[in-house]
Formats: sequence, C-alpha cells, structure tokens
Amino acid sequence: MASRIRKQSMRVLVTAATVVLLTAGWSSDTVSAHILESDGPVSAVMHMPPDDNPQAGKPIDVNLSFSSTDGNFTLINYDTKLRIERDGQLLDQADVTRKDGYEREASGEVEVAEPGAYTLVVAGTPQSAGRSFTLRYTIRVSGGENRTRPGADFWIINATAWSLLGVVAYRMVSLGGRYRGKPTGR
Amino acid sequence: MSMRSTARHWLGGIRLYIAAGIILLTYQLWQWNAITYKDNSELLASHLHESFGWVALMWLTAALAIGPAYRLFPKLPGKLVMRDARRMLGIGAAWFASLHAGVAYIVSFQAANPLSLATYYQKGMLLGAIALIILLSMAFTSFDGAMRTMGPWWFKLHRLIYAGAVIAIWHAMSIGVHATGIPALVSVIGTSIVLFVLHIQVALRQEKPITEMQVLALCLVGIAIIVLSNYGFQLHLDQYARGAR
Repeated sequence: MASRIRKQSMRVLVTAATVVLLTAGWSSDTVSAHILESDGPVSAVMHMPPDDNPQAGKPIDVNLSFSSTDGNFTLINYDTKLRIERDGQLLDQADVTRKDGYEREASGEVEVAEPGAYTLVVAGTPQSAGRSFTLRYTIRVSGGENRTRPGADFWIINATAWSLLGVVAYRMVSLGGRYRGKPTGR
Repeated sequence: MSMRSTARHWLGGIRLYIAAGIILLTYQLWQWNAITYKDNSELLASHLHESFGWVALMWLTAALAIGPAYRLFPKLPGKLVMRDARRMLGIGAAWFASLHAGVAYIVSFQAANPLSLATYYQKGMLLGAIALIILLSMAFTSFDGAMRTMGPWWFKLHRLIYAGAVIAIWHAMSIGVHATGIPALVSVIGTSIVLFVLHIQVALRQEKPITEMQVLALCLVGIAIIVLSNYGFQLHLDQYARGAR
C-alpha cells in the first residue's frame, strides 16, 4: 500500500516536472532585448519595458542599469540626460532620473512621432571632477506591433518535419533491433 | 566494423535521430525568431540567444531526468532507447549552450574584452563559461572510446553535470534579466526540486547502502537549490521594488 502511494506520488511529481518544463519553454518566448554599451569605464544595459517594442506617438520608457569597471560609479555624481536623435537631429530629450535608493539604476522618457530607426543617446556630465560619458543605442520605433507571428505554413512545415523524423526514427530503431533485450552503453 | 555495419549501427540507434532533431530545432528557433523579429536585428539576436539558453537548460534537464525516472519506474516503455539517448541529449545541451554563448557574446556584448567589463557582467560571464566548459568536456568525451580510455575518471567527469546544472541556473539568474521573472523562477526552481526528489528516491531505493559521498552530493545539491531559490526570489523582489517606485 505504502509503496503504491509512493509510486503514485512519484508519478504526480513526474507529471508536474513535465508541466514545469513546458512552462519554461513557453516563458522563453517572453524575453526581450538588452544591449550593453560602454564608454570608457562606464557601461549601461538599456531596456524598454515591457517588451522592448517602442511605439511612435507614445512615450518610450527607457530603463538603464549602469556599471563601471572601477566600481566607483554612482549616478549621484553625474548630471545625466537622455536624447533621441535621427540623422543627428535632436527630436526629444529628458532628464535621466535615478530610482530611489539605487545608485546605478535610472530611467527616462522620450517620444517620437514617426516610426523608424533612431539613436538613443545617454550623456552624463560629472558634477565635479571626473570624465563625462556618452552611450549610444540604436532602436527601432514601430507604428504598431513590430512582431510578426509565424503563419500556418510555419507550423505545418515544422510539424511535418518533426512527424517525419519521429516516424523514420521509430521505424529504423524498431527494424534495427539494437535495443531488444540488450544492455546499452551508459 | 565495416562501413555497412557502421551505417546499420547508427541507422538502427536513436542517437542519429536525436542529432537530426538538434539540427531541426536549431533551424526552427532561428526561423521562428527571424519571422517574429524580421524588422529588428537587435531584437532577433537577443531573443535568439535567450531561446538557445532556455533550450540548453531543457535538454540538460531531460538528460538528468532519464536515469532516475527509469530506475523509479522500470516499467516505463523505451528504457534502453532512452538510456542510449542520454549522451546525445547532453551533446544537444552543450550545442545549444555554445550557440547561446556565441550569439550573446558577439551581439549583446559586441565581442568586448571580458576584462574591460564591469564586475557584474564578468561574474555572469564567468559562471556561464564554467557551465559551458563542463558541458563541452562531457560532450567531447561522450563516445565509447573515451569511456574505455578514461575508465573510472569518465564517470567522475560526467557527474560534474550536477555542478554544471547548478552553475548554469546561477548564471541565468545573475545575468539574465528575465530569468528572475515569476514564470521562469517557478519553472526552474520547480524542475530542480522535482529532479532533486527523484535523485533522493533513487538513492534511497538502491540495493547497496547509500554512500557518504552520495549523502554529501545530495546535501550540496539540496543546499544549492535553497540558496539559488532565495537568490532568485531576492532578485525578483528587488526588480519588483524598483518597478514599483
């Protein structure tokens, strides 16, 4: 009885593991872009929440995580601005605001009217002594959803490819007889 | 072995078809991302390397789960096939991890000198590099000849898979911004706990008495799961607190 319960509980665990694995596969589709840019010792990773998909005519929220090779960097010592440019022409700018309680996390908000490729410029000027920095990120602003979901043909072709592979593997492995009551390598 | 018997050996084994599956999945991941982000090469590269990273973890999980699953459920079908499949699954994990590392380093980090990067990135990259070296060393010794030549050292080397898995999760949490989201945390920690319980059950049910090394290894992995869970949720709360401000 006890061993049956144990076996059943293990089956539940294995099923749970399968569900968790499938969830992990699904969640991999929700990740987004983070590009590191550096200027001298100062680096920052830029993220545009929620999905790095800025839209024309809507505020673009830009999150920045700063770091430095010397480890002494803090945003308190800098006057930092965020600009958005196209072909060198300034279209909008904003202050980069440090997040409360964080020395290296900041955000700013800019906006553009037209879709297209733009350059986000993060420029920091030291308030006293020190070296200024300029970080440039190329971003694409879309007029709407800039993701194209694969169509039915993608799914049909890939499902066919996997089915074919499965059928051929099953048939060949069955015919080969390599696993009939014979121990295999580790 | 003659050419013909070699061909028959491979065509009648599961590894060849798993290798074909690795190539097919690589192409599909690239194709999916290329269609989805066709107008944005930065997003394409970024999503591609994260997809490769997650798939590497999934293949590693599959390789780790087969052994204990068949020991606990000996009546599960395809035991010999799946046991033979394990090595190729490990090679698949190493392949996807290499692609993940290559695309991330070249595109996201723009092939920067690792020594010139901030400590935060150096730490993440170092962890990833250690996990990748472990996976690659296992992949390159995953053939019968290496097993015969290395003798007991082969088994010692291949037990590093547990350390590799722990370090890979640590790497993902430390540097992967989205690895500390709730779906990813629940998936990774949940899977780790299930695999851990499976290994404990196998150790408790084995015919010979459990060795001190096994107890030590299980304790270390258990502690690592607790520490990583705490680390992941701390990072998640930290990010949530930042977003709420």
